[in-house]
Amino acid sequence: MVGLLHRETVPAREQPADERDLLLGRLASAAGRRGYAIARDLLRDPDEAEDAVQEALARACASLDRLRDPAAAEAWFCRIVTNVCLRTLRRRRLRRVLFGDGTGPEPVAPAPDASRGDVARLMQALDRLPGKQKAALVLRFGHELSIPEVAGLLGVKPATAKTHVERGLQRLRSLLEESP
Amino acid sequence: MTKPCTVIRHRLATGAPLGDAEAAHVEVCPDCAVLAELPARIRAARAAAADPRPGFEARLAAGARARLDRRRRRSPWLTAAAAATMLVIVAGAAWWSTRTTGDATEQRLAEHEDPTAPEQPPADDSAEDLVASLSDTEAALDFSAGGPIDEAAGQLDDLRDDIFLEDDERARVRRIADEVEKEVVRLQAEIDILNIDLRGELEAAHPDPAAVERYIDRIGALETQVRKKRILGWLRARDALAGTPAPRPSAPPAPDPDDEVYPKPLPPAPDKSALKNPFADPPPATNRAPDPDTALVDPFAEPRTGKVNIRATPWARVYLDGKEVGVTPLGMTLPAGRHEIRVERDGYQSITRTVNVDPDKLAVMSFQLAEK
Repeated sequence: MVGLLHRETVPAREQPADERDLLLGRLASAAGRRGYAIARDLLRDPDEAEDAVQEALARACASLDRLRDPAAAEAWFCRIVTNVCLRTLRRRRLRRVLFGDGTGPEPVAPAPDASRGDVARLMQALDRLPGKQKAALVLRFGHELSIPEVAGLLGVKPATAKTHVERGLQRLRSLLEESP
Repeated sequence: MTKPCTVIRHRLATGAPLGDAEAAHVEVCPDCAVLAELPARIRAARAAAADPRPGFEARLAAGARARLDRRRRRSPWLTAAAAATMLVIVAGAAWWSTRTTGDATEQRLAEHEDPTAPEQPPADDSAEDLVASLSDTEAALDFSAGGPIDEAAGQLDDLRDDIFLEDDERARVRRIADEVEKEVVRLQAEIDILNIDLRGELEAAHPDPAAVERYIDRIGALETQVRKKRILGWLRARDALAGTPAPRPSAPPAPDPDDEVYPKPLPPAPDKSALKNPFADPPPATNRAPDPDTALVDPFAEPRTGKVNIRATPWARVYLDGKEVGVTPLGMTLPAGRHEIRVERDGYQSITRTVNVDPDKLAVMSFQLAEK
């Protein structure tokens, strides 16, 4: 990632097309899979996850001049992915509120691998958590990141990230007990 | 007291291993048992997630390229119109917020001028909570309950709120008080965390005495820092009101009969700075006039105090030098010297003893009350 980005000082939107394509390709291969993994776990839908990573990649290229430390480019990209996913979750929740459960967009189906009862229940309970709590739990335990790393991806202080994790755990337990 | 469930949740969040006490609690608490399994369950669910479909990178780059192209083609007029709309909305929200805040400020000022207005609650609830939490822990551990830190808490607030000050004076004192409170809250947060760890150690099956001693030493050191911050803050506030640091007199002045509590002379201009020093030694029990050589109080000197722990069977009310101070078991920090302790309970014979409190020493008093 360092070699990929250190020359780039001009926003990708204003760069020549071939140079921008090269940059996009490198960024996609260097950090795309990790970003996809995060998006896939937060959104639980492969198509929406790919959309989110594409959007994040476009945003990253458009605002590459804001990246101060090229060595942190992957973490920076993952933070953009997380932000895009949180925004998607907010919009999804808003659509459900506006259109109601029956008439709105279909709720996201559980992944085929998660069709077993226990995992499906856990996933459904995770979906009912507030976005940041869900993201904090998935990143902390699903991706085994430390609290400071989770805080970096969520754009909050470590103490706040820890609070999200603790409250998320507590609420997840309550939701699992409520569900049949 | 922090519940074991809270400690377990904290340790699960940070990834710290559970101690023996927490592991034992998980065995008996169904809620914590479920909680302790959740990280592993989330990890297992994550492992079941599928990889992206083939050609992922190419699709990703192509999709991002298309999005960038769409943004470049977007009309600049449309973007400018959207930005202008957002600007208007933000400006309107800011105006509304200012108006609301101004109304609230005027209302507060009106209440402040009204002598019959109800007393406002303290501004910093979290700091008060921390102080209360610290006091609870101290009381539970039987050291320094009701000590000078608790008595000193809020002295700067008193200075700020209870005395009539000009606006600029109030601003100066408030700035100093805020700085001190910030430091104190930070220190007390550290004390709080150490108390949790200490409690965890004490509740362990086999507590390590050396570790317990280290925790207590560290907590004591932090408490000393809190006290120093408050005292120095008090001095800074006083000096800010006086305009210049209070000079130390080269020769002891003649004792002023009206100035027994704080006999140290202050700079001439500000009468407002002649405040009651909360850290001065208490006046002697006798009515003898204070000796000028000994009546001068050095605010930097550590107060000479000792601790007294009082226990009684059955429990009883405790009177210190004739004044009721609480019920047993009771831990107190007292000025060095002789004090009269009396314990009383209805239906039992009261007992009076005298204790000689040595500086930095702990005296333990046990009473066995007999029925009348």
